[in-house]
Amino acid sequence: MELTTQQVLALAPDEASAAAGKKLAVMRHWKNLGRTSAALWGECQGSALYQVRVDLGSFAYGCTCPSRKLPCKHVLGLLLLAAGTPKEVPTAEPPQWIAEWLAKRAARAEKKQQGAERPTQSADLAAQAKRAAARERRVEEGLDCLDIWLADLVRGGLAGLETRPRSFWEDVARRLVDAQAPALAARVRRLAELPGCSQDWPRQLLHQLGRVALLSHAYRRLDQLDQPLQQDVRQLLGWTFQQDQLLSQGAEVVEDQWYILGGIVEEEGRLRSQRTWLLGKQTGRAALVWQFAVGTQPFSQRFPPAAIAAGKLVFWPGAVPQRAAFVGEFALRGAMQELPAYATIDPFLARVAGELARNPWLDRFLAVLEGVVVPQRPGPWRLCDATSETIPLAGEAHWRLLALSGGHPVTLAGEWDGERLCPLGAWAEGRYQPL
Amino acid sequence: MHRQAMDELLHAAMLGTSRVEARLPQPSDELALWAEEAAAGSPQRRLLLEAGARCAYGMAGYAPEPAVPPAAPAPSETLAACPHHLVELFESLLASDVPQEVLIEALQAMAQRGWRVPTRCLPEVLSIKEAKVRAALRPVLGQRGLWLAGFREDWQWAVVSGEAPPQEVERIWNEGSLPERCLVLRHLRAVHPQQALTWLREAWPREKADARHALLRSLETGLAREDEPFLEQALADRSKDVRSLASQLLAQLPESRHARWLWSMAEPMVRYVPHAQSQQAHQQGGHARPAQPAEAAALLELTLPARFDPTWAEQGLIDAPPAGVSKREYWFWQFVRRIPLARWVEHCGAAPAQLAAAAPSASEGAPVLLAAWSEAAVSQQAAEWYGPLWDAWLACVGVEQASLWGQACNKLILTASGSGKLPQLVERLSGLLGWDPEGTLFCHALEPMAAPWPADVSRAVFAQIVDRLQRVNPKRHWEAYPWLAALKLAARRIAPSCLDEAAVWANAIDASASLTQQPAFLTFCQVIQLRREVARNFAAHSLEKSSHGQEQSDSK
Repeated sequence: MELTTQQVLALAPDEASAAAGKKLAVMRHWKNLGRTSAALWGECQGSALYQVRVDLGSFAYGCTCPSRKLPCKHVLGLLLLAAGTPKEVPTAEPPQWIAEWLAKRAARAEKKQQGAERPTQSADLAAQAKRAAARERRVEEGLDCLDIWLADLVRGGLAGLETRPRSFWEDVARRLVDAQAPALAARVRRLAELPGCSQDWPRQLLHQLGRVALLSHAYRRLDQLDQPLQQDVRQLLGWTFQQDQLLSQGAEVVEDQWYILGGIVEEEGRLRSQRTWLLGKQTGRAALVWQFAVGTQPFSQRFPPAAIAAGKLVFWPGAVPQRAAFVGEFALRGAMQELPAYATIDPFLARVAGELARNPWLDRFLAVLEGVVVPQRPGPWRLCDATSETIPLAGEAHWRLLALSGGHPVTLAGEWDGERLCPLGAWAEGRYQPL
Repeated sequence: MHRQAMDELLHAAMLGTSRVEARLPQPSDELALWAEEAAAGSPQRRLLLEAGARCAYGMAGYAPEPAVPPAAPAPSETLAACPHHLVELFESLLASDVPQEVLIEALQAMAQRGWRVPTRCLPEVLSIKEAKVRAALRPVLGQRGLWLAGFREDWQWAVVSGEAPPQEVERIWNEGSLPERCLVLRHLRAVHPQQALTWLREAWPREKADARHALLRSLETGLAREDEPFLEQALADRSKDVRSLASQLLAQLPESRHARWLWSMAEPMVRYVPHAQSQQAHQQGGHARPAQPAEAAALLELTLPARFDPTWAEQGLIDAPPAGVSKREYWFWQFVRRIPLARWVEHCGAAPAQLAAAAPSASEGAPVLLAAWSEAAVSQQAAEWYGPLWDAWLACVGVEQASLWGQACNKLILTASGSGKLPQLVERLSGLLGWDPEGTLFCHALEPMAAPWPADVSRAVFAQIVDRLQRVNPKRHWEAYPWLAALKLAARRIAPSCLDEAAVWANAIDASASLTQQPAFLTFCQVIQLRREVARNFAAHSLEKSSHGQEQSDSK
């Protein structure tokens, strides 16, 4: 598909690559440029002659330079050249090396597809069952310890927690990791941030501690819960699914054209995580794609906001399926033409309530609302809807949003966490503008 | 009720359930009853379970708050929007490594085409601090930009351009920040000079030194005899900068006591001898150089003051010179620059051209004399002196340059930009390259020439730079440095019509030449490319209107 310069620059792993790519987007460095509907290629003269190619359908790229950054500056330069001066890149017959590369990719994609659909080997089920039972036991023991710790905490009082060092929480988290409940460990580790973070921290901390207690309570009565909620509780504790496992266990697969609304990147130690929200065009389903990367490595998939990704999403099982991942490759198609939204805040909050009723541990929800952005001085910015109700926005300054809305109601997409809305993008001037 | 229950739970949790005061309340609703049951006797567990349940309930039952009145929406736009495919190009111009001349060019082109800045760029654009960019931004902000600017203090520059209403003026004078007050005083001075003086006089005793200095500067406009008493008062100020400024202002009032005193001190310092006589004439007076051979040329004899009289400090002169300037030259310079040039013409009985021509060969102190006269010429806007002063300066080259001279030179070249004499200046500079092969002078002179350079100047300068770069001896690569710096400068400043030639030259350079590895060259290519894109997209098609039917391609 056609990418715009802005989207290409958004793909760069860091500032330096973007700047280097811009410097390379000049004709004098390139030879043998060409494109077809499926691919884009060229040869770049750097300290040697590098062959650069991009698969336009699935957005994969390759370059023979030794750089470890992906995409490297040559790929960025080629894309910028194609985006900025399309006339310089004529449609041509793909040379030998391009044709080979495309053929290899097609073969690999097919093999992956086949592998995903093949059922898992049923070898040594007994050993698997024993491991599963051992894990459940360990988790129960871990939760017993956690319950004792929580009770001690409440008995002693929350007032003194502001002065506790981080290791206070780290120890508990580590014990949970040993008990094979890593997701719960991460949740406890995040609690360390709360004491002292705002005026309201005791209430927030008590809420989160209560949720953790509720989770441990739920796990003890797992069989009394519905199947979907059981899946949720397991995942919240730390059971994970690999994508091919999901497919083999018959998880829900939805095919649609997905609006890419935007992503939020968070850092936890050396691990970076990106969550991208997608909205289905026909089905209206909200989907959350999580990606992880270590250190400065780029994320494996790119989701340029305001584009449409056509493909199949497989959802992680649960009472309210949110997390999803693409099955195979997805194709980027054009730009969003519209953004369906809730006209007022009330129906959205009603939906949130409904989802919480099915899974009380949900942390975040996709919100697409119409309303006006109002700056308060001092205090949080608020979104005000047509019925004059407001919800606070997260973050300090939303000047770009204010500029785009100009005081008129705009449709805003964002992530709601129960207290604040974090804006992802807005529909203004006839197109979706990421923020 | 939920909130109250939550508060009670919180109270108990903060104190800790081991305390007697922290007793959990009786279960009051379903949630509490359930928690009590599920806790099976442990009050801590009950507290936690109830808190967790209430958290989910609280989230599910979130009630939005009632509205605060939103700001009035922005009025609809009068200017056309920037085409969407150019928004990214515009955003790339806002990057920090792009020279601001390129941005200014794009903004001016947009203003001509009746476009406004893309809305998503408004916050970034309003946060720009440089005055020149702000001036170029004002016509293209559009209604949305002006509306947005009203929300923040540091964006007010976009809105406050005209005069404020009278009550506003007084309020700003009493309560505003120093830059605002200076602006207001200046506006008032243009309209009601006396009232501005009265305000300043009233506020004078309370102000700090730098405020006094800044506010005093606003008296420059509309200076008249009635200001003399106040300026005399300022002349006795504690701060030496204020005294110096007051002295400069008084010097502009020829009838004032101070101006007369200055003249009486400065008059004997410069003596003009129309035709250099024999050796006898030279042995009189100060420190003279041997006469010019053969021709009967005019001569200026300078007498630098020997010492700094303490009473001079009370008259606004500064004793200690800045770094790199000798004391006597500094004192001499302070006197001479304050004197109106017409006085010298009268006193020496010669035209500006003759005086300036005699200056380079003056006795010791020639550069300082030229510096002082240049300062005076620029501040008094005596245009008839500019040409002769340049010629003098160019002839004076080779004499040690005083640092005072550097500033004056820059100001002079700036005036050249405005008056259309730039091509001649460049020609003369090029001529000098014969004996200044390193070209530091040439490159140094390029800096103050305001962008964009006229087309002929651009071509001449560019040709020189290209020529010099090609002739650089690879073994003496350091000689190329001033020319490389000039190359980078040229990229930002040459006329838009010369961009294509520059690009052609850059492309034609052999990829293996060492020049292509220089960062300056790469920057040059980048900036030229960017400017070409700006020209192609933003400023194009003015030819469409002029020639009907004929489509002249202005790029490629």
